[in-house]
Amino acid sequence: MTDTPGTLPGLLAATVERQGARPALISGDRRLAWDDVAADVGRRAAGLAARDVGPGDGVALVLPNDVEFVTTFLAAGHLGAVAVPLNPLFTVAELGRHLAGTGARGIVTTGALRPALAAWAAEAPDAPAGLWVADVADLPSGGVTPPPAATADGPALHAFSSGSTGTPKGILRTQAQLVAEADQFYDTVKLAEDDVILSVVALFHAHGLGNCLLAALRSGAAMVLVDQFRRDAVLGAIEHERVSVFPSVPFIGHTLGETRRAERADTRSLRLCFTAGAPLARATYDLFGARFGVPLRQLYGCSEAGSVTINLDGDADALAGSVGRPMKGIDLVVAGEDAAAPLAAGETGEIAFASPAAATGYVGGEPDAGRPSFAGGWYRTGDLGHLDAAGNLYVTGRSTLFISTSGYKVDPVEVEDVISGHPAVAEVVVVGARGPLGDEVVKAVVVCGPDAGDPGGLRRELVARCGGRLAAHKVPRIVEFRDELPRSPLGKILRKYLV
Amino acid sequence: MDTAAIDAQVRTLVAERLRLADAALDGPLDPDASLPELGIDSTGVMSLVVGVEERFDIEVPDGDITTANFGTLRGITGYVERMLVRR
Repeated sequence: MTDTPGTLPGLLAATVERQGARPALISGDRRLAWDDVAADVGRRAAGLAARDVGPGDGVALVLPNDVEFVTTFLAAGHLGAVAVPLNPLFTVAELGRHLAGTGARGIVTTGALRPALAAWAAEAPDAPAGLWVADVADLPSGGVTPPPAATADGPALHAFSSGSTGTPKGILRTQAQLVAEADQFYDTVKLAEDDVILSVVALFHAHGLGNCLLAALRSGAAMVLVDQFRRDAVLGAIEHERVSVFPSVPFIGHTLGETRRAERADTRSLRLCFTAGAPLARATYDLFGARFGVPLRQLYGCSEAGSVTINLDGDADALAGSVGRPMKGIDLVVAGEDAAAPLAAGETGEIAFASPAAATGYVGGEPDAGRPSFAGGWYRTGDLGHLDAAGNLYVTGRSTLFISTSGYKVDPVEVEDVISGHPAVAEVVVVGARGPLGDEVVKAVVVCGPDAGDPGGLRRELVARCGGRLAAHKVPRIVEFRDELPRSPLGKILRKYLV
Repeated sequence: MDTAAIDAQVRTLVAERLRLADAALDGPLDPDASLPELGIDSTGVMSLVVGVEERFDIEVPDGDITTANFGTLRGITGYVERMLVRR
């Protein structure tokens, strides 16, 4: 048995030693025990090593929620390499923007996505030189498993946060920081090896990675992998696999709450259901609770640190609007302008925390050096909120402009850049308009140039332009034309009048 | 319920659930316009599916959520008509 504390291979080894024969991954008809996972991870690590992947090297994962995501992620960790998980629904241009600067040596993807990615890697001027693109099914799987090369302080994950400049901000997290996140969740939520975690939220995103993959790895719980949210698939998985833990996003909770036939499914195994990624509307909480007899709780987290708080309060109804209290090991404050002096209960300010799971900075430095997000061991989230007298956190807004839609954060600047490239557009502002579920929908407000022509035709062109360059959740659902944009006397665009 | 009545109700759903109001489209939505091309992603389609179930008292199984059935207004109206006949 390898002794590598504070690392992903160390976590896997400990779980295998404790309960290697117990179920680990379930995907359709495929069922892997933790022993099988360890064997697959060893083979996959040998395959990556045969492609010259070693400590510190980046490996992009463009994979759906399936067994191969988990084993490739852990194989990269085994080698001390850096996993770069990316959304498989991204266009190749978006993937390219994210890959630039990651130092990735290769991309592991599916047979369906490989041709387009390989063409991009061969032709795009911004593609890293020598980048290989492999169908996960074709990676060599023989050979001797190399010994684990992970170190606690070595980088293990290159994640991304929406930037305020249209360029995603890179976040490097170490093996020890990921292990700390796994420990915090385990110690706070008290998962056990007989828990079954429904893994329908994206594993390439902090929510799925932390609250499904790392949570299972630490506790030995099983993961039921579902690639796409479909109601019959999800309800069937809950019933047949006796799912007990269900991480979701408000949209999924709301949709299931509205689905009458959910009452025919046996969902009594559910014990802990929680959403993250966007505020949970009271209507969604009520619908879900009435349908499933389990409260839909809130978890708060971010790509910089994984999960930060969770609401496990006994009085779920009264505290439904709260994201709960910090995970064990996290210090959290609501800060005023002077970050050193936390605000009192009830006062609204910026949420900041110190956590052993948090990254310590952005790749390439702070986008706004005058007001750094990381300083003195604390991370300022850019989110606004307040604490109640008992220490429960309420997130009430953002000091940044990101739009929360479909469980993702959309950077308006990225969408504005695409629209403003159209010759008929003089000015554009992208905002989050209120959606029907208390979430937001992407809305573009456009001022046309003199030769714009028919607005209906231009709307279609702009939406098609976005559809060709951006993932579907970033494409504006509403395009509104105005003669001019509302501005303050100082010329600042008044976004609140555009929502 | 005739095709026109179903079409009217589907239009109301699209406006309510997707915030794709006629006003934002410069006139009525073309029945053959592709919803994905209007910026409707998979969550938007799912929201529409749940609305269709509730309004017409039908069940839409996972396998029926296809581009043919839910990719255009005409597709949705036709699907609802077939489901109502079958009921």
